[in-house]
Amino acid sequence: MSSRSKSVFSVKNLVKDFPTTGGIRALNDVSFELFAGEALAIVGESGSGKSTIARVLSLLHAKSSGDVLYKDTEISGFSGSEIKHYRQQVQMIFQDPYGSLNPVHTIFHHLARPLKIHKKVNNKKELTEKVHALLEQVGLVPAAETAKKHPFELSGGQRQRVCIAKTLAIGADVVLADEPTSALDVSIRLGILNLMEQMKKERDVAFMYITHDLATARYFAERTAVMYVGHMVEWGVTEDIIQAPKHPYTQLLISAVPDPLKRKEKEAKPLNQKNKDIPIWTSYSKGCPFVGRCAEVMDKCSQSMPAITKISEKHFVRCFLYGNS
Amino acid sequence: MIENANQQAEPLLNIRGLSVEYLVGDTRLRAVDRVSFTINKGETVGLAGESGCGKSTLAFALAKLHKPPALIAEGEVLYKGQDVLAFNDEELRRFRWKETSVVFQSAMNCLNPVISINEQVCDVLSAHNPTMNRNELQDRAGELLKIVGIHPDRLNQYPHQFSGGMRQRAVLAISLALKPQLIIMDEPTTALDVVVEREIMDQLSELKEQFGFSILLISHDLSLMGEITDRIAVMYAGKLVEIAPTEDVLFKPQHPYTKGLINSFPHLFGEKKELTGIPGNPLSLYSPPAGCYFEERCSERIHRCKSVDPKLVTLHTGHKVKCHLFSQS
Repeated sequence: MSSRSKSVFSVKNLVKDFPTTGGIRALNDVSFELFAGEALAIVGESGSGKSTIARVLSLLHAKSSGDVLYKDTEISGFSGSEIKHYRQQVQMIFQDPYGSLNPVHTIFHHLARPLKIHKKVNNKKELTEKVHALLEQVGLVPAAETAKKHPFELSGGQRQRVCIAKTLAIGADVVLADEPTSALDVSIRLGILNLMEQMKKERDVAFMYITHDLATARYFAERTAVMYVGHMVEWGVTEDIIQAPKHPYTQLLISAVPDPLKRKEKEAKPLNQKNKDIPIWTSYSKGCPFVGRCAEVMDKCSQSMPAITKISEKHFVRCFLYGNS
Repeated sequence: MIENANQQAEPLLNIRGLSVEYLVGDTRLRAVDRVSFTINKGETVGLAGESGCGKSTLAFALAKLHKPPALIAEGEVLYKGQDVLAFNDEELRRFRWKETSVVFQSAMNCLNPVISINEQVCDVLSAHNPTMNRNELQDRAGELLKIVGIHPDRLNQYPHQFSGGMRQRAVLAISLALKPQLIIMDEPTTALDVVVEREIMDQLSELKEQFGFSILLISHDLSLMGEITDRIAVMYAGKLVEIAPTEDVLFKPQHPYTKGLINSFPHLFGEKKELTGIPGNPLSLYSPPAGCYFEERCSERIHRCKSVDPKLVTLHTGHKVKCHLFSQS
């Protein structure tokens, strides 16, 4: 699977500090790869740094250290025109489809703009045809009618489809999807996921699927990385992570997922965590970030971040409970 | 916890034949169509359905929060026997928040960006309890934030310093501020991560046990509803299509729409299968059909569905469904 696919992104030991009071380390030692035609789900709570990864990758934030290689080229050294080209290839879909479209412009304007800026069309007629074709591709029919509408006339799911059409417009080969479905309805959500699945299969688009919904991660993403306070604590093939979670945090996450079947077991078990205070990570912090909440904490956990333990060929965890140490 | 919890099943909110319409030009779009159900004291009722099915419109109408072009075409909303829709402004002011609070869908966007969280929480408290002094207000505000899992140290921060989830939690804290008897929650945890969602839901159940309030939980997340509701009502295109005790809805759904909805969301465990959702698009209310509104998308339709709108029939105690498949027998 992944071994045969082409790696499009290679992120190594990425660190991102925000120079706020006290200095926040939003990402610490994050490494992963994205492959063409495959989705990597980044799962974690609010504030775990999921969105920061997407922002660093899309050059909205400059990284503090580490390597971010897009097709073997470091992205931080890009010149103006290289950035423009890069942004064609790497597109983002945001969580809030209500906020990511300009309310005073028509849908046509939203789709025409990237086409014009990146000179994908030669004349007006071609532009109209292309916009309509895009709308049809994402299931917004009749296209001519939709194109005339303003964002407020569309539902959340339809707006998200417009955002996806924007990424299709300029032929992105990497899509950083930041919670693309969390604001949408269930049946609509599946429509969006299936649409992205189609892009993945037919156009070989690489997806970074940022989510807190493990069930959709299981449905859509081949691999999953679990983030906690800027650290990757567990990663590997999605099915392994969900069926046999190793890190106490992953176990906590999975036990928190609502499941109607739990109702049958009478009382659902309380969450296995000590307290719910999420630490603020700085460049001076040390140890495992999960120490405060971990039910299986040991002395050494607050001393240093555990090394990577390989559970199986495609399943890794950073926790002292595993490995030979 | 189920059904029996409301020993006397004393109705708190009784919705009778409520219809809400939107005036669009010369047309009247019926967003909620003759919906009737009851919320008993201490009961949690889930209201499920797709975007645009009228869930939120119903929620607005229940607290008489609807504004033109929305209007109540018919029906009553009886809160402890009094018609909320007939309340005057002063009665409404007392009713809202103290008796019934509403947490809206985009709750995280309804905080004022230029006022600190502290002031926004205190504002509600002092408006309804003018006798509270500065310190009491502060303490209570801190307590409320703690309830929803935000460190009280962050009380003096502004909404932009909060993550989306924290903002949503802050709004939840504000809704709990006056200990209302009924909380209407419109997708309260949609944008939250699972651990927080679970914490809030656990917290809610705890608070519910403690104070005995009722909840109307509007959501599309049936698995979440499955854990905390006593009954689930399912709406489609403004009509109530099925209402039953939670277990019946989840494990023995009868209406084809409910079945579709349940088959729409991926599961964390069990077999991994391709899901299709429900084919077709939601109904346009501009030209409602004569028959069943779900007919177009329904996989089990019979010829009668196109011309005759089915009635809500009672299958057995507490299980009602609006579908021709059941109306014959």
